[in-house]
Amino acid sequence: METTIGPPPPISGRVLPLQGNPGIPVYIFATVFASFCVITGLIWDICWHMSIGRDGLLSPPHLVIYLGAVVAGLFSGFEILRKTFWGNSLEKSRSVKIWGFFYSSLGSLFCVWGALSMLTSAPFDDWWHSTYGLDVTILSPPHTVLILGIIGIQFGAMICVVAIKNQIRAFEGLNYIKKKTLDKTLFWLFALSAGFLLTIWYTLISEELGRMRVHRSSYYIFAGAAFPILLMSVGKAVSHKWATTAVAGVYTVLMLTTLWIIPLFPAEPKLGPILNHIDHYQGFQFPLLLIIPAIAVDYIRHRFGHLNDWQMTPILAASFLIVFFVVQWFFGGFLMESPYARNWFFGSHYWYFGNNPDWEYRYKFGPWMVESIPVLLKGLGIALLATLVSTRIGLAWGNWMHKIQR
Amino acid sequence: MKKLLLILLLTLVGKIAQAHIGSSGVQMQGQAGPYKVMVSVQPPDVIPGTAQITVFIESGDARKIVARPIYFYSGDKGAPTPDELIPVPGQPGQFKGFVWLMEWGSSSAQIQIEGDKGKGELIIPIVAVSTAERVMPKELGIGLSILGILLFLLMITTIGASVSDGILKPGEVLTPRQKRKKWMNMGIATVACSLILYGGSSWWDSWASEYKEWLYKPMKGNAAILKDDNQYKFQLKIDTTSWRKQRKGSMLSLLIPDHGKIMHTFLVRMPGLDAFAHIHPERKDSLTFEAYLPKLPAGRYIVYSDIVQHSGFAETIVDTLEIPAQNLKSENLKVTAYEDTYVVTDPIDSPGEVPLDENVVICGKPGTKTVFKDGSYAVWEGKPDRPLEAGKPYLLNFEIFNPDGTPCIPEPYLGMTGHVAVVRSDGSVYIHLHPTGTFAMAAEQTFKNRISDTSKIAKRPAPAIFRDSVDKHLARLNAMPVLEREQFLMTEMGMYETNAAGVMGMEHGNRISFPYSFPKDGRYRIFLQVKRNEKVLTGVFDVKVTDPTTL
Repeated sequence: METTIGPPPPISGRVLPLQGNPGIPVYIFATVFASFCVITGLIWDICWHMSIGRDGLLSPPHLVIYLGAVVAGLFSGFEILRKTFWGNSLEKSRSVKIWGFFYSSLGSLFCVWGALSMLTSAPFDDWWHSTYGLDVTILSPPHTVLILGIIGIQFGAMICVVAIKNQIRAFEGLNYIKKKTLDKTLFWLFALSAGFLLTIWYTLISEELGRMRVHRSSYYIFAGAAFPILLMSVGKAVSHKWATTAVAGVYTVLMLTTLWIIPLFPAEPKLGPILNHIDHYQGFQFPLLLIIPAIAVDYIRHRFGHLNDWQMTPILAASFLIVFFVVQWFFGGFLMESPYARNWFFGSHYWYFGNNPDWEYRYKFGPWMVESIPVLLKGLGIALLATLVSTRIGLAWGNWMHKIQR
Repeated sequence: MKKLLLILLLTLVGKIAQAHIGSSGVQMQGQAGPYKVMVSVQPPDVIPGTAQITVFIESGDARKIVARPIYFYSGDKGAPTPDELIPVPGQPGQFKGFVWLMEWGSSSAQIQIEGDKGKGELIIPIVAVSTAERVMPKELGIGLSILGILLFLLMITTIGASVSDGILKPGEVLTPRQKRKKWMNMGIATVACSLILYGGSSWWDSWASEYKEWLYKPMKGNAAILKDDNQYKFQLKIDTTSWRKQRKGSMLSLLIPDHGKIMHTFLVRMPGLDAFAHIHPERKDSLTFEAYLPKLPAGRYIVYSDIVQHSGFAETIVDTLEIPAQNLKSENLKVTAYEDTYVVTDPIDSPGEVPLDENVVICGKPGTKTVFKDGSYAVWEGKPDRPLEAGKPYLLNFEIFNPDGTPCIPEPYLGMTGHVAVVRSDGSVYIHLHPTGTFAMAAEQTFKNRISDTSKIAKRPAPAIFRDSVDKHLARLNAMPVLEREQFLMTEMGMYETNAAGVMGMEHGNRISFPYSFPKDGRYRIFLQVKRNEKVLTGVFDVKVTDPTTL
């Protein structure tokens, strides 16, 4: 595990030394901003559906999502065209060449792909509504195209940042303080972009991770498969002791601020049936306490930095799952059952307007939501396997991100 | 990938399933408090979707009109706040807007009017079901395919770049080994992306088949002829096979009478549409309905049987029936219901050719006088040579006269001043109309009751008890003298209350108006039924309907 900035790479005959006073290109900020827009727009959109229900192509949350797509698409697209037609040879040497003609950064390619994918989803979704009915579900094929596009943009933002961050290492003659400041800014840009990506990761499977399911093993199987892949990779991608914690922290802060701010605004359901009448927005969900296993992960990878990835995998996976299980089992139980969780702070009282507010199992685990000990243990065993695989892939993915130069 | 492209490129124009026998729109004429209005509702053909509403204010000056959907299941308490209907520019008194219908089944639109005469309200039942099967238009399919291919190629290229030059230091170039690795990775990416696309396409297919599974399928029944004391009896047995799959359960036990009858059956002889009967089969058991057959000439008939659910969901069961010749004399024939009638007229294709019999009328056209069998006559307002337009809401206005030319005020018949059945020449469109509109009166009543009911979620009645109580109610109705029964039915439907403005709901003159919008072009036959001197009379009119959009 690399914990300090490595020595400058040896200069072979083929490598161009980078001179000068590097800054952070504007498109980097633009793509991170775009990544922020798409995820906040998406969370707002979910709250909109839970509170108002009816939306159109130009509903305010959609506009925020589109803004993200447009910013990411335009800035990345422009960057590609600029490098291709007006870029100097140094810039071109720091780019990937595609289709034998275009020069681009790798992250911009993902961003353009994401924007194009989101663009594709709009007419597809429109046709879908006229064919199979208006929005009734988060995951329909056109919505999946949209979400893949959103993920493309967010992934692209992260790759853009990580490439610039890795390039900084190759600059010669840069003073240490300047390098350190740049690196710090880039670390936070990275933590933001990876945190936004983690948030969408969570949003995608949030239906499986509702507080009602917290005493089922499926909850831990989903979490174990989904989160380590990203959390472990960020620890590998950048050389920072608290990288995982920072990324989980960004997720937590974003989830909390949206949870606390959105319900301050008035909203009323516009689609029947309305069994639960409300006059303000319903918040999304209290974040998973991913930050606690993230701290554990950061501590362990620092403590056992001398081990290789295969040796690290079981330690990291097991500690992630154990900490996550313990924390979430009890905290989820609190969110579900405690009257102290039914408030603006924890948001357990938010309830879809089409659901009966007097439902018996609103604040208690339904019998189908709890498992016998053997079933639970078996499920947790599967969760451990999933976590192991996810962790190992995450580490490999992180190694790749650490190597990205362009 | 290929499969997906095939789906994208295989393009045909959407096909609309024939639910409600061609007439999905709802036309209503009525009194919204002090305002006389005509409302036209075009429900969506896919649920969830939006229903288009047009309100025509016939009397009064409306300032603001709002509408909201009320579902039977969640009632008034579960309905959203209303949306405003927008005045149509250049069309005084006309307002347009829509309501969102999210739930499958029995729904309604509640319309509230504010204007110079104060407030008024109206509720229109709507049957919300998905009936349309669409295929992607060609242009969209091509556009999406191009974007799809671009996304596919760009993703593979990007993955290739990610593992090759993306991780090279500035200026470095790929070694042959790295190049090989790049191509290998792109190959793997191609396979992976193709698998994802294949998975996506299978997912789409399963979605489409699931949608088709829930597409509205009209209730089916088998019509048959039974023999009872030398007389023929009509029998309809509801076909419940595949019901378990559609989770229809015991809904047949939850039928409610629509103006006093559990079932209204219309028999129309094909292909000439030259013999017609309106009979009212009685329920023998939850699946079986029977009525004595009037003296219809032999031939092949289309059977249209209307029923209404407890929730206000109205359906028509369609079947064909071969009726053999009957030799009994009319006066010896038994009838199930006092109101059962039949008529024989000239075939739609060869006017004037009609065998003489005791129950024969000659078919008329708009603007011409059509004589009933007792010598009284009806005139349908309009010009015989002017076709009507499909999709346009009309008031079909009839004036009834005594044989001496004096205005004839029809007597109420099944609680209504008149009934009309509209049938397209090929039988593909059928509707049973009343002066109030194209909806089932019972459905409107259901919604009025539902609104006054404060429970949030409609409770499902116990089927056996419900059916029993309906049967008892029907038996009580049948036992009543005709006048008393008519008065009871009209009161029940809110038409017999008198207030300062006169009698509610309908005009009592010699003119009867039926709101209707012909759904498509073609030749239609209209069977008008009124009652005079305690006899139900049937008149027949033909009309040509053109489609202005295909001219």
